Amino acid sequence: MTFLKDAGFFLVLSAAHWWLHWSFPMGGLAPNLLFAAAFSCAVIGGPVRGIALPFFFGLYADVLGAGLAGSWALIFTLMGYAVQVMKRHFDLDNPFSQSAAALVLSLLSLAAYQSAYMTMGGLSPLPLRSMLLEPPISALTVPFVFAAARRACGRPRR
Amino acid sequence: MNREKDLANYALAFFAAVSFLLLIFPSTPLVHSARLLFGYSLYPILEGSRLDYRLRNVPDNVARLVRTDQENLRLKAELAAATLSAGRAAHLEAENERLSDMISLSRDGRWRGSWARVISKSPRDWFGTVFIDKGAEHGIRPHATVLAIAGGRPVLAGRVFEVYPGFSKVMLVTSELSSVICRLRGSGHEGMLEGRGSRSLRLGYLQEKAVPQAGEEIVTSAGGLLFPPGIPVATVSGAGERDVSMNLFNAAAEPAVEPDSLQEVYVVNRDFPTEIRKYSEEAP
Repeated sequence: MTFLKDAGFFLVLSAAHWWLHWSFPMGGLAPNLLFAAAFSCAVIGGPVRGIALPFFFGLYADVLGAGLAGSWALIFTLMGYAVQVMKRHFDLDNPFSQSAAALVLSLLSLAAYQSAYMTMGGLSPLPLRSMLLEPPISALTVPFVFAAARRACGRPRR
Repeated sequence: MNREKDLANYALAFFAAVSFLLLIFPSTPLVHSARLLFGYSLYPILEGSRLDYRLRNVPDNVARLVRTDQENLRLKAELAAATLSAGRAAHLEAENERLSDMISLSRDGRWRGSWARVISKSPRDWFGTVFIDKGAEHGIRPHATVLAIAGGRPVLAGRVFEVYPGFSKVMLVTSELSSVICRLRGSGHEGMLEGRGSRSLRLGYLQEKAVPQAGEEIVTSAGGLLFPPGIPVATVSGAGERDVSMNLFNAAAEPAVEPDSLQEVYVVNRDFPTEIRKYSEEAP
């Protein structure tokens, strides 16, 4: 049952993200629903589910994006693990802490993505302004997506 | 707690390894091609910079496929516009030809009059009458001859029946009330061409000697008071029958102009001698 709920949430969020970015790209500054969903699932899910779901959201981000296939999957997997560690020390059940954690993790994710590209010797397809604007936008988006994820997938698990 | 930590570590190791494999193997062009084709098949509208944005990092052959489809869509739109333009051009050409014929009639100098447009037609009297946009204010008089252009020459369409200040009612030759004194152009025999409220006409009062041939032209006769002589009115379409009571013959005919194709007509202003005009205006 949990698997079906997770799959449903994944499909809905993926479709919403695709539609939003395909129809209203807003110069690459449309809210990153995949990041918010991966973060929310990592908070809600247990050690396996909380890493697996971010991995699949990352995989989907790789399919949608124009970058290296597997890069977002790796970064979201690492983010899921980081959230598992953070959950042991912080209460990520309230919107403020979620936003703060999302702000930091989004910035780190983007930095990791750029680093991965630089390591591979290519030029990142992400515009520089997204490094500045995406973290706050994600921080604002996360509480809403988290509320939807909790409704769909259940209460957070410590 | 330790068990959960272990699980998290195992999950991290597994998914990180899968991600690494994806990064190491040259899967990127394949993934981008699949993404583009899937997205494009669902939502194929892409233009300008958006198209370039979507096509970045996509293999050339796939990009060419999408660009070809875009070009195909654009060419289809252009073809539709061109077809529309061609249709409009053909219509304008036909109208131009028709108006040229009319201008030639105006320049002919045989008749003085004015052009009028057909503005209305009554479904109850489809073959009987039409309204034109010229009336008494434009010098139109009752019983004036109404000509139309058919086959590039003027033919009789009818006569003015009622005149109002801004418009007039025209009785067509196909009206049940219409009768025109005509003659066969070939033999010269006169007869009375009567409307029947349909597309067919009846040429009556023909002598026994007059043998109308199918296709023979019927023109207005000098014996008719209202219309100038020699104007084509109809064509004999078939031999008629003998009128037993009067020992006369009749023949079926078709009008020279289709009553349902009238768009513009030429109303001839003729100056009859006063007595004749008085008589003609009293005529039914």
